[in-house]
Amino acid sequence: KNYGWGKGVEVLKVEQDGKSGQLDLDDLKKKMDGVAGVYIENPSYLGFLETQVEEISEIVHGAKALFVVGVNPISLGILRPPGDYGADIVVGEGQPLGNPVGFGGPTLGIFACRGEMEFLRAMPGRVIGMTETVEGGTRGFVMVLQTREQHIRRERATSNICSNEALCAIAAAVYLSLLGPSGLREVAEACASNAAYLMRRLSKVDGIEAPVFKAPHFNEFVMRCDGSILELNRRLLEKRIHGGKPLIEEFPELGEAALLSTTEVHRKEDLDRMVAVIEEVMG
Amino acid sequence: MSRQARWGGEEVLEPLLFELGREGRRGSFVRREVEERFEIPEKRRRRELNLPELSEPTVVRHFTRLSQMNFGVDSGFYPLGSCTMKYNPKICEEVAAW
Repeated sequence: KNYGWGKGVEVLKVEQDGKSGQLDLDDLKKKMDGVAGVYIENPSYLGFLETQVEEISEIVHGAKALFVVGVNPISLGILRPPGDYGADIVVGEGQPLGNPVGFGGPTLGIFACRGEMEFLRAMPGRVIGMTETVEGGTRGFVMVLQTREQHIRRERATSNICSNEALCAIAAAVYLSLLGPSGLREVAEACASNAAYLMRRLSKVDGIEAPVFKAPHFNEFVMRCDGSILELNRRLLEKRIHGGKPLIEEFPELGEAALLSTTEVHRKEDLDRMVAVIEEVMG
Repeated sequence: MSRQARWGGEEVLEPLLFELGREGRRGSFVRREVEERFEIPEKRRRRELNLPELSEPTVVRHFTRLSQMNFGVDSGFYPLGSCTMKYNPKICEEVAAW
């Protein structure tokens, strides 16, 4: 089900609460025997926040395993960073940081870990260090820990990277430079505010349940409808609106559901137009 | 022995964005039309965000200087190939944007 199969990694799924989506801590405890690491996403794939992160961190570290958290970087404009609640490794999709969606790429990944040598040596990707030149003592930048790299380690290298990812990373750096701390917070607030508005409006439409999970959300949420979600999406598309991503194949237990997302690019009239079309279809 | 690239003379070294930052500056504004209260518990919110505060010209100048510390496709003829060969000639990018 993921790229781990190539390394022979066995993946166990931890149960979640059907109503709130929150991780089942008792089930997690039961499954911790001999586990190397636990991965959660916050906000989760289905949009809700995992609120028991401190408890999860404690259980994972109690079993001497690593706590890995996947994030949407924009959400970190308002949400506490995973390092704060004990994450050892943080990963994420870097595309939201000023890179176009571009039909699936090119894009970049975010990979961060605690600053310990044991982690750094195993880390994929180039590590650039800041140092001083021998003559003059001026600042300089060099690639460090090169023994992990493809030009030395060859096929056993942990670092395989291409200049086009660096190009995307520069775009992300420019984006964050222009936003700054207040800008990133405002983008995150606009995303969350738009989603909260859309959830409130949709929840009042007959035959629509939004959000399905009773938990705090960032900018994504699951919506369920009486009737066919594919038909609803088709009717939306007729009005030139992309509906949510249907979840009927990935999560059949959720029924006729779709994953919706709002960002800071959506205007109030966009959201109102979508609600109006859904009202018309459902009514 | 390698030397650190410069964009100007020997004594000119480009500072880091964090060194260029000044409190209260910003490079862009975010449009927000919907003022809806969203439910994120206080405990889950972050208190500080350590990013530099920069004006747009500062950011443009910084990255332009960095680009001039290296010889690349924008500086002149570049006969090496692999990743860089995938870039379209500038004129084609221009035409594609018409």
